[in-house]
Amino acid sequence: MADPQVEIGRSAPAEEAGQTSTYATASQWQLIRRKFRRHRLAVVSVWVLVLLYGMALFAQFLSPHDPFEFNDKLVGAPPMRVRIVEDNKLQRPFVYGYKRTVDFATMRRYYEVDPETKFVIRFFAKGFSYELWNLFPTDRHLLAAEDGGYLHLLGTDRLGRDMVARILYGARASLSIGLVGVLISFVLGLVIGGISGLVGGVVDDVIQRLIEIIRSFPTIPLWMALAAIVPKEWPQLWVYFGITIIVSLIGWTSLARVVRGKFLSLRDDDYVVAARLSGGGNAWIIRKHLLPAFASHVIASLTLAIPAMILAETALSFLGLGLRQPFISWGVLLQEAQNVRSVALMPWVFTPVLFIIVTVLAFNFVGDGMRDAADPYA
Amino acid sequence: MATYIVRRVFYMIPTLLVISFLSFLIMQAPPGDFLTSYIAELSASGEQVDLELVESLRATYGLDEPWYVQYWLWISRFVRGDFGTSFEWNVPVRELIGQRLALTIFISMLTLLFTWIVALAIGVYSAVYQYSIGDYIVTTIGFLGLATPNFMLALILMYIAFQVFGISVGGLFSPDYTNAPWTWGKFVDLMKHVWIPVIVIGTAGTASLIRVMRANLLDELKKPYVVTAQAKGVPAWRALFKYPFRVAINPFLSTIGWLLPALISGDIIVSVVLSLQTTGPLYYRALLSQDMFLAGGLLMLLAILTVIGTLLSDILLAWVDPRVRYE
Amino acid sequence: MTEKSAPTALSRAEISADVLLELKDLHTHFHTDDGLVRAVNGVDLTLRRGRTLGVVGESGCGKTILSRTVMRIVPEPPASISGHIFWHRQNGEIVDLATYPVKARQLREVRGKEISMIFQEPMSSFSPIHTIGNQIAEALLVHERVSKKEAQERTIEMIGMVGISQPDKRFHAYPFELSGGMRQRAMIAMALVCRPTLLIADEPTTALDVTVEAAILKLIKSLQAQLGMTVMIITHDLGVIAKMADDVAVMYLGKVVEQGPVEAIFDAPQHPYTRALLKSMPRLSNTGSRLEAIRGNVADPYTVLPGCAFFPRCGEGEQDRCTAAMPPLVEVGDDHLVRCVMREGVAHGRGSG
Repeated sequence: MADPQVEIGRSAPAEEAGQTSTYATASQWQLIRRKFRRHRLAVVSVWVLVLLYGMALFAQFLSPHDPFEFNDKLVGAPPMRVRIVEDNKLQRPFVYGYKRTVDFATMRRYYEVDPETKFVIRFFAKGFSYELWNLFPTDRHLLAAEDGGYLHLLGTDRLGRDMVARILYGARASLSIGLVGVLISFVLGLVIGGISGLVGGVVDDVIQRLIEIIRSFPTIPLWMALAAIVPKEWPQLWVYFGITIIVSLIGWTSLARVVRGKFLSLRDDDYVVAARLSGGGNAWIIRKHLLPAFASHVIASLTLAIPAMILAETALSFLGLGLRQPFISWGVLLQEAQNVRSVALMPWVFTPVLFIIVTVLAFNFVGDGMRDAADPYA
Repeated sequence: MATYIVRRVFYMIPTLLVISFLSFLIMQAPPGDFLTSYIAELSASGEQVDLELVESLRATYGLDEPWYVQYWLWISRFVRGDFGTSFEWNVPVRELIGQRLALTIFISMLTLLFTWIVALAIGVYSAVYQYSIGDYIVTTIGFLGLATPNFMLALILMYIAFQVFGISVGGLFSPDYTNAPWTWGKFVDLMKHVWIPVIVIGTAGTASLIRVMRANLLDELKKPYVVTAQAKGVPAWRALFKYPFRVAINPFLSTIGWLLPALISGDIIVSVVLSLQTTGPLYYRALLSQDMFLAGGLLMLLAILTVIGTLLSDILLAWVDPRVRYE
Repeated sequence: MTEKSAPTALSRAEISADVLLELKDLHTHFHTDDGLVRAVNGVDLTLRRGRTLGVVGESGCGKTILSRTVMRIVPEPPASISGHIFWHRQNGEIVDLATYPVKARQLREVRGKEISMIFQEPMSSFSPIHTIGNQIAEALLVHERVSKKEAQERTIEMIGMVGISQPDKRFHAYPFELSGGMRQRAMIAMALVCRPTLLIADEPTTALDVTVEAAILKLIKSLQAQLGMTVMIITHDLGVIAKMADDVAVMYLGKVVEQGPVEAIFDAPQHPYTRALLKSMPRLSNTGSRLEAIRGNVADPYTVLPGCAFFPRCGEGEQDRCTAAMPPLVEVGDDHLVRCVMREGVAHGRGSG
């Protein structure tokens, strides 16, 4: 009836339009970005992730030691502390070496800080040679101990390998599995969910039932079974992709649901109907109206799917069913930490867990922020 | 209501078929039939291979027949409760599984209970006192719980129990009771051990359920019917528990559909770390040694468990929510 | 403030036993992340027994918040309320509802028992998982010492009174089993089951079809007569006002800009905003001419400009006079008040009576 609610912005007098124009002309993505920025934890998490992926990308450059190199003098050594003061004087940053004593009754090694051996830390120093991204051969590293010294900032594992280097190398596998896995899930989810939502009818019913069934399967046993049938003879890279595919086989179902749900609800939305009535073709409507409308939702769901995949890889590798030595991933590193004894004796072999937790948290926060921002008009 | 239950049970049939098929596929997945690898393994370890036994097994499982005959033979026996023979242990799968499955169900139920009670209480608190200090603390712990891998939590708890209380917490029973028949004492002993796996398995689920409950309740608290109740002069606690809480609890009930598979998943990994006498370590070993009858049977049983759990939760949901019933 | 000295809705002589509710300098402010929203910003109103007050204004003018403030069901925080809500109780006692803490028992005793409310959205205003009967009877169980059986009987009687057929069967129905109009009737039953003295209807027909709307309005009127209630009806629809109200208050940005008897408001509107609202209302008599929209939007609630809030959209004002200070309410006729500097001269020219 006589709703005196008046129409907005543009037809209003000039000074009115001036006031509201910032809102009226902000695009959907501008609004999303604006809303995302309000979720401070999410913003911080984005930077944490940038940092983590940067670490993975420059793992070789950042590692002071070769992750496969055994240091038989320092087996299972605790982390070294960086010092800058010696004899009450400020020095270049350095670490002390360790003196080892072995209790032959228990075969336990004890490490004591040895002020006699001192390793000065050099920046951009020479170390083991590598090819950055298989492209640039070099032997420069961000940090390394001076001439042949040791720099184990996070200690060494049971075989005397540097934990810093191993965590950095492990980041490459663990962090990329999430991304690659999500990519596979994304394609599967988009295609299957899209078909389900667009075609509808019997096809939709069958796909929905199938998704329900897959989701009612306990994931870990299924993953374990699938991982167990990955042949042991496969080369490392194949195993890597095999595990990635296995991990992503479950993830697509939730994405397919999101996509289908959005398709169904949007298909009958007034503005889509309006577009169709004004003669828009199917492809045009999908590209122009549907995709922008749920792209943000899809990105949010994708982000939230990544941590589950990272955790899955970790769990499988931890159990020895996923990636295997000598391949390094965070899960593989945690195989070292399978029992309480190692927690008690060498707690530093657990540092990969901190990285896993931080990564998973960061993805969760970013995903949360995106989900909140996905609908900027809400 | 009755028609609803019948319909839901009817829906279970295709689900179970697909599950059995998937399990069978996984059993068949390792190269060669399991009998060949079994013989290879026996010969490798220098044991005598009983050719007669091998032949009879070959016939029983129809290994020379096409896959669908093998499937039929397997599934028709499975339905009758004959899950095949474990080649590693050389005993019927059923005997191996028996008590372990019961323990898995027991732990899962206990964990479910723990998860629901804790998540419900904390979720309600955190929604009602949104943005309070308590809410922030709980949310933070919740996020940490979600991000920490199950098995790590198990190790950390074991470590704490070991350091602080000086007790070794692996397993579900003290050595005295491990093989003892069931008595009250054994049950008490079980309860002394079971809390660690319950907490460990339950944490991730609890953390996400807290978020579900909090979000649901916050949604419901904004609904006009809450204002209606207020406008009627209903006291605050009653306006909370009679209306938004009751509505918010419904999607919460349906979470059992994914919670149960997650619990059983969690149980597998955690019980390997904590060496519990549940199905987890058995399944794990079966997979490692490619004892496929055992692995396939267990996978199938675990999946059936979750399907039944989901069915129960659906019935529960229909019972409390008229909208579901009338659909 | 200047409003303090302004007369209330009625001539002082008439403030007597027939006053039911008096709002004095009532403010409801919301403290949000984006700033302070003055949803209700200094309202003075008086409701007399047995009459119907219509509160009208565009979306966002604060009329809904005003009605909820009276019942103290706006969430506090983020809201904070100041001013007075003098409520004349059934037992003759006069209480100020604004002074009680938000969870006070005294407030609960008034809500649903003495003041009741019906809402705009009959579907979402009912809990989806409880039966209609359960939800209606609850008001009785909360406020009166009745047995469940008695509550059920009285509820069924009430359901019948609001014109729902087969009330004893409908008692057990869920909200989703009823039509929109039926749900609104059930809502009215829920509001009236304790026989309140004041019924606040917040856009009671906005969500309904026009045909149903007429029936619901008729029902409210007949029940008002039957039960001797006072009604406060909140709407953006002047048509509803014309059908229902005895007195009208026009709200703009948290303030009453004009109030008076319905005839005065319709026949001799004084405030430019009231006139603009009337022009935007379709009438049978002026078919052919275009409906006029009011320029612009309800202003941004976060920024408060000095002077008359309607000035930016008003065609009649004078920059200096209108933006100097918030104009006071001035009397321009019998019980007819307007908040506009352009009318001040008129006011002085006409005596009251």
